[in-house]
Amino acid sequence: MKFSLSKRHNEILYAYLFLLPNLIGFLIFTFLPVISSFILSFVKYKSLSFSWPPDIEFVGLAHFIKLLGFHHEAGILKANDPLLWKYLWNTIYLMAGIPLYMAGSLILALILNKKKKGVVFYRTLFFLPTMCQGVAIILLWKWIYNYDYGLLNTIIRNIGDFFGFNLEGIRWISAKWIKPSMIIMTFWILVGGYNMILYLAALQGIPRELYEVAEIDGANAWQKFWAVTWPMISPTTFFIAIMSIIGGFQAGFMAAYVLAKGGPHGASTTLMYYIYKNFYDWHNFGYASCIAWFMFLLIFIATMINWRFGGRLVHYR
Amino acid sequence: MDDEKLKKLKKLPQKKEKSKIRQFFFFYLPLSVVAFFMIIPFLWMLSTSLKEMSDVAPADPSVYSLKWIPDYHYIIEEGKKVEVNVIGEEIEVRILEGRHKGQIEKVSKRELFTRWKSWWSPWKKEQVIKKDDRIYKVKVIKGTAKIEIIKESGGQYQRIEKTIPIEKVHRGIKPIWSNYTEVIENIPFARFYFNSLFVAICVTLGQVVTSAMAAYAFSRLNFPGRDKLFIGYLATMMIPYAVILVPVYILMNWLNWVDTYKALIIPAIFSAYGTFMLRQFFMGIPVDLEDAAKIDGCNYFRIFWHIILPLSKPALATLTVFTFMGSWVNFMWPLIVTDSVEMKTLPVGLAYFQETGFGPQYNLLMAGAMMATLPIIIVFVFTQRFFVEGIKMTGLKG
Repeated sequence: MKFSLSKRHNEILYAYLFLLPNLIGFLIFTFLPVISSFILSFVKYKSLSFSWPPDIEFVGLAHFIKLLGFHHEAGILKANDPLLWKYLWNTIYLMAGIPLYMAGSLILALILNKKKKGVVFYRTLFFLPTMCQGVAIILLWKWIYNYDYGLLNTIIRNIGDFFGFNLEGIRWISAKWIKPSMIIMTFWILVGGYNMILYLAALQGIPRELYEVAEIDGANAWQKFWAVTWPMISPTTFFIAIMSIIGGFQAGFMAAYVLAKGGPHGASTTLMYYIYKNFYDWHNFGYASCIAWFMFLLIFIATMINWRFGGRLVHYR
Repeated sequence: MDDEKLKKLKKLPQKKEKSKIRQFFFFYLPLSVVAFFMIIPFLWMLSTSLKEMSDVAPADPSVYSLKWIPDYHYIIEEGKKVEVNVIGEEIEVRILEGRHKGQIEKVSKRELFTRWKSWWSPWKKEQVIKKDDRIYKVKVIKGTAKIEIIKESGGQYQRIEKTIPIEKVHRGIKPIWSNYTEVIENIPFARFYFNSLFVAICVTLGQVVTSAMAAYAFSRLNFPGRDKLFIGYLATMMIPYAVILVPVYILMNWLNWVDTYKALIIPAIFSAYGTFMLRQFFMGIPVDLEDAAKIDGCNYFRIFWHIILPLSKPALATLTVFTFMGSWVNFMWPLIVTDSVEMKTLPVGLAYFQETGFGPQYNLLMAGAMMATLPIIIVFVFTQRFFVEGIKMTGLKG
């Protein structure tokens, strides 16, 4: 009996030893920040230098009222922070690209899903933009989008000259066009990336017999896709959609920063960028935390809606 | 036997012929078109990085023309190539139609366009000019080029201007490699590389080691509060990065870690995701092996080291690759915790490079981007199979 007890203690000791390095880091850099962020959203704190107790001023729900509240101004209902709603709209606008990226990835995966020479070559090539993504690639696209000398406008003008039209080219990095520009760029980066590989894996997991049965029933390629392929890959579609939406709310910082610093006139500023501006440029730590929690709420609601309604469409084996 | 017969029956000779055409139209053709669009921006980056500024973005946009291969003009003088600058080109054309039919007109080369002769025969081309906002078909009679030759003799430069027939001016390929050396001289690129590499290696090592240890405790050892703690880990995975960002940034300032490697590395090491992923993998390893080891008197550390780790190589490799990549492309955190140029990582360094007067010099900017991208492409081409397996694994787990 004594032996087993000491053995049990031994196990607990080892468990904590194994857990300790990660747990300490987790507590300091994840758990405590989450708690402090929650507290921060109810206080005003502006100093970066250490002092104990920190120089905070409790403001209650003031940040949340500024964030989500409305007021009457000359008889018109106005948001307390109109910028937030503009930037939220930007974020959602950019998320409109998600179905395009997914459809593109699926089409590529469908074409690639054959045992033929060259599959690995094409797959590697399509993955390159995802692999190289980062500031270098965004700088490249900024150059491609240049109004006077960029590749896209030059091609547009050359086509115009060839056919005898007078095409001016598009101001890609302007308040009007920057969001579509970002979607096009992201499409190029993402289409052959992770999602395509996931779809490819899902397609390879579909048993051959299902198609054979469909063929016997006289289904054509289109019918086979909707009756067999689409339901069989629906868990993957669901997974990609959820992950993309969660990522979509937090996205757009690097691209907006490098392309136009969130501009022109805030046209490419997303929620993440607004948080960055609030805490890094203006040191509004309380308000920045408040927006971050608002973002969490949005992600939470979107994910719940996905589970509730998207989950029904998923066909599990 | 029946199956084989069926297969043989399916592969009739005529069908094979047909499938080759199908294969081209449904496989190679669409894939090649997509591949073309994937590769064009990279080629544009390479092309720009090897061009002169006057070719990349001339001060006067109207003289700009699309060029893929960086080139220069030369004439042949006494059997030798002599580099020249073309100042202006003039082409004499005869107008073939309309009001000015038969008239001879002098135009610059840019005013002469080639276009399709008609919609139904795109292979036939014709040359046109624009005059008074109308388009006229023309025939080229002759062209002359005004050139400038700069000769050096004994430290003295001599400039000669000449007008010669346009056919005498040839084009040669001339990549401007000095763009790359100029970037390296002006921007501490090697330092950015080192910073990125050092930070990525430390973060990856730290994360894999601590995550694996924690995952072992969560998956194999019994201790009070284990499941509650694990749920706590899982719960934080749902919280967006932005929530944690602000307090950690304040903490870095309190600790005076801003602009040090500590700030770049330590907060990035601890991840609930790595712990979760490895824990799921460890759960799938059969326990029997460990029981045998326990009877042999192995302690938990030896079990972890000699049994669990060797059996979970694929999961460890996946975590390694993704942590490394994540650290390599991370932009926001290094941006906010670095101030001095020496501490910047590659992505932040590139963004900074753009902001310091090099912004409009796209040939240098693209040379920098090329240097940041090329090593990744080379490494990836050799390790791509690895990536694919890793992605499949994370996808199936999630």
